[in-house]
Amino acid sequence: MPIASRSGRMEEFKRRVVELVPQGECIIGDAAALSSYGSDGLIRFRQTPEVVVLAKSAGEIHSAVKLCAELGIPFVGRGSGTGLSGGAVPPPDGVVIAASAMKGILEIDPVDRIAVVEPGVANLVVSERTAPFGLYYAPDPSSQSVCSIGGNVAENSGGAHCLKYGFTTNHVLAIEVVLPDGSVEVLGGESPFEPGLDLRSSFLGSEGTLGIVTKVWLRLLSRPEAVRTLVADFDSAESAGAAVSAIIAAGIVPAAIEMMDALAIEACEKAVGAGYSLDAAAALIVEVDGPREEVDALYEEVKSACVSCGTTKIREAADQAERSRIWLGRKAAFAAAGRLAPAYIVQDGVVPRTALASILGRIAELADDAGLRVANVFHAGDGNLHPLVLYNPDSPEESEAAERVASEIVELCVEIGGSITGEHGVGLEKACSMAAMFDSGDLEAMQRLRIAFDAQGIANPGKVFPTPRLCGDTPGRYRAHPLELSGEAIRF
Amino acid sequence: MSGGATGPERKLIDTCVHCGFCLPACPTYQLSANEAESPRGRIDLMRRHSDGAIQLDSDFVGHIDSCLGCMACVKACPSGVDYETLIVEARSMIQSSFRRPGRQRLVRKAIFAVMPYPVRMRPLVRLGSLAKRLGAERVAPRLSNGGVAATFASALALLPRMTSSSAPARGRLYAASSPRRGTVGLLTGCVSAVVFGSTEQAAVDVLRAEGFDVLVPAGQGCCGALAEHSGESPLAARLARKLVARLDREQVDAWITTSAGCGSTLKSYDRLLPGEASAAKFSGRVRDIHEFLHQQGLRADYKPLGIRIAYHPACHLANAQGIVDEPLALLRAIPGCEVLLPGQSGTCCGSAGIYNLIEPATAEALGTAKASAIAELRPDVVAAGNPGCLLQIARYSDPGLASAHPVELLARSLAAATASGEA
Repeated sequence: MPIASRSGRMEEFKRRVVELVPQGECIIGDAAALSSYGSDGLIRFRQTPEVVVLAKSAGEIHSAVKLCAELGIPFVGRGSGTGLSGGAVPPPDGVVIAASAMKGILEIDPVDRIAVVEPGVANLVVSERTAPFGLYYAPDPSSQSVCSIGGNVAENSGGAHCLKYGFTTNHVLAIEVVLPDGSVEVLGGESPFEPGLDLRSSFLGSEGTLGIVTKVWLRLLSRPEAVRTLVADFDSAESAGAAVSAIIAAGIVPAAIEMMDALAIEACEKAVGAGYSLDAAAALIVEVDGPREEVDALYEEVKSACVSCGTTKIREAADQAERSRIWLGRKAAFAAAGRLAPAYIVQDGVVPRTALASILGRIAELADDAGLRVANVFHAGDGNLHPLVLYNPDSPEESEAAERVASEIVELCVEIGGSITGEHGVGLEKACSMAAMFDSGDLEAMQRLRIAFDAQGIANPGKVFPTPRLCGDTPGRYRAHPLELSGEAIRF
Repeated sequence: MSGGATGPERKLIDTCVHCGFCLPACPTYQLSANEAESPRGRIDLMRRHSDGAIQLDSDFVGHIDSCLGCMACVKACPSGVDYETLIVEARSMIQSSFRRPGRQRLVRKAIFAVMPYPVRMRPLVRLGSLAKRLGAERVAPRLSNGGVAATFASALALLPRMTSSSAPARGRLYAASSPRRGTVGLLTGCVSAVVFGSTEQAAVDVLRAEGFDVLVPAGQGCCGALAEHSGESPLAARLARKLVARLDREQVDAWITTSAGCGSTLKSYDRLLPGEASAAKFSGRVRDIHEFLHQQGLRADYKPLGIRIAYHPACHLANAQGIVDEPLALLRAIPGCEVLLPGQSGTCCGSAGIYNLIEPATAEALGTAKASAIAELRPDVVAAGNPGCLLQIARYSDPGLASAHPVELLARSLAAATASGEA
């Protein structure tokens, strides 16, 4: 390949890509529109792309990636842009290849229970469209009405009901992907067992660093015969945490156990009016589903576990409408935090379930010391915390304190045997924290896998892996790099 | 208010946390899949402009222009972002600080020189309807290569073949025809007054039958809604101030409007005329007719009509004013009617004030989709609480499909009662 300057190659890309995307649209000169692709769901990070390709077909994604590979141009795939770790923030001097216009459900096979979909289709739409067959798609991120299946594949997304049903990876049979060298592959297959190395699993949750998914074969489940949901109030987070442990210890695997603290309850209630008790210190939403008799029996056990741990009130959902309202409140939690403060940082740490109550105390201490408020909503059943650190972005001191508290919380999770992310991915936000969890040998092994897919390093570079420029590769909270301080480098 | 040359207040912009929950609700995002054509994208443009990172250029303006103002995003937003104020102030900033190309300027000038003034609008509408009967529609598209001629063609296509001349006389008090429950005033507006006289007459009939004296003041003008939604804030404020001054001294319990688009502006004159007590007081008394009748409770004797009604929830009723169940309850109070909602009922029909005149391509895509969703229900009549929606849906529907404001169906049901009573 002749070595042209970076800007020369980009000019060539712009010239040629237009012809490769006849059905879709290429955003090139429209500075306003390009700017709006600078961030995903996490607006703290921003990088305006050079080009956005709004592809209409797998073929167009394929052509665009092939051109990127030929010219050595970095790219990032994008679905609905709802990610919460900056994973879809464009690489510098890079292009966005968006699947948001590819919303087709190509096939529903109700007998084999498989849906074949384009990557831009919204998660919830799959369940809506398969409902007439009594089927649904189980993983349910809180943003399921918006977030795309393609994005779910990239992030291996979770959701409230993943406690019982597992993450995206448990529900994706096969994927058609465009690899960073421009080749097209199908990974996995329709049968649950595929011989050989499981490359499908490598791709699931690779956050766009191994390529872009263009078609997805989803596993569908039968809608459960019965679903019962309750909200149990507690006068302390400790007793709510104890109830979670008691339920799991009794051998019950509920469809979901969610916990909210008082501040989170207040935010959700303001946003949705779901009927949560504003005077509770903590509340659990517990849902059990399955065959009716089993559900009824488990439901009683759940109730008595809550009672034995000192619940102050149990509200039982009388019908589907009330159940929907309860979930609507919970699923609006992140955005609803916007009603408590002008800005917030969502964290995504994981802790052993038994440490739930104690870590809440530690988080409260960290927040008090910094003079900030932290609201907590989390998937209690699998120990996945979502502390929302509230702050005022107009105050530089508060902003800095909030970032500090947020990374201290994550470090705390690792310290007590947990992890830096439960479902939001590492992305740009937590790349620096990777070194806190993995030693250099682990990281090198991951890099080798990555390079096997992407020798040029053009697929979503700068994500997931800590880079010396940004992180200094040392574990711990963010510290300004000397080059940043001298003004020679910037932090995105 | 803010807006003007500076654009929306930064505080208001920052209430958006960029979560994206608005994306599935936004008709222009659903059509284009382009982030800049979504509510959070447009708010981000306002944010970037306020940061000085992007210019107020024709691309920026295009993305703000393309918003229908349907407010479906407001309903979907968990953060409670006041998108209506944001878009109005961004448009106001554009109108005061951005010089549009000549053709766009001319179109807007023409629209706002005519529409708010029934005296100018009436003869043009009559002429247009006549031209339409004579087949002008077949000629118009050939004249139109953008600009004023295209707007004229769009306007012509929207016009009903017959304009109704049965509007109630102005400057009169129509006495209640059953035990008296109060006095209301009817807001007659501008376009509605010219094209939808029969809706006004139906409103008077139903309100009287429900026990209300109905005052129809003369000399009312446009409420300013069309101008406000298009960023013509000074014109909107002028029209609003004039209307308040005209109606200020009338003694009524409530001011009734039959137009959803007008209602949402009439109810928020405090935004248009901040600090003017008489404006706030006036706004406080404005009620949409569905809202009012439902609050008061129906008492008159409604007789069966035996028809299938497809109800289209106007965005400015359902999203901007939160009036969702009331029109359905009123229609269901008519015995023998089947009331149905089309699929994707929450999506805008593409009418959106003057939108179908200035953004015809998007308006056509939405109008066609809406008309076919309604046709699937095989209704006898399509009902909507906003005149613009009725014109838009009729334009893309089979000419045989009747359309009516819900209050007209109530009036028809009352009339059926009288007829059977006399028989």
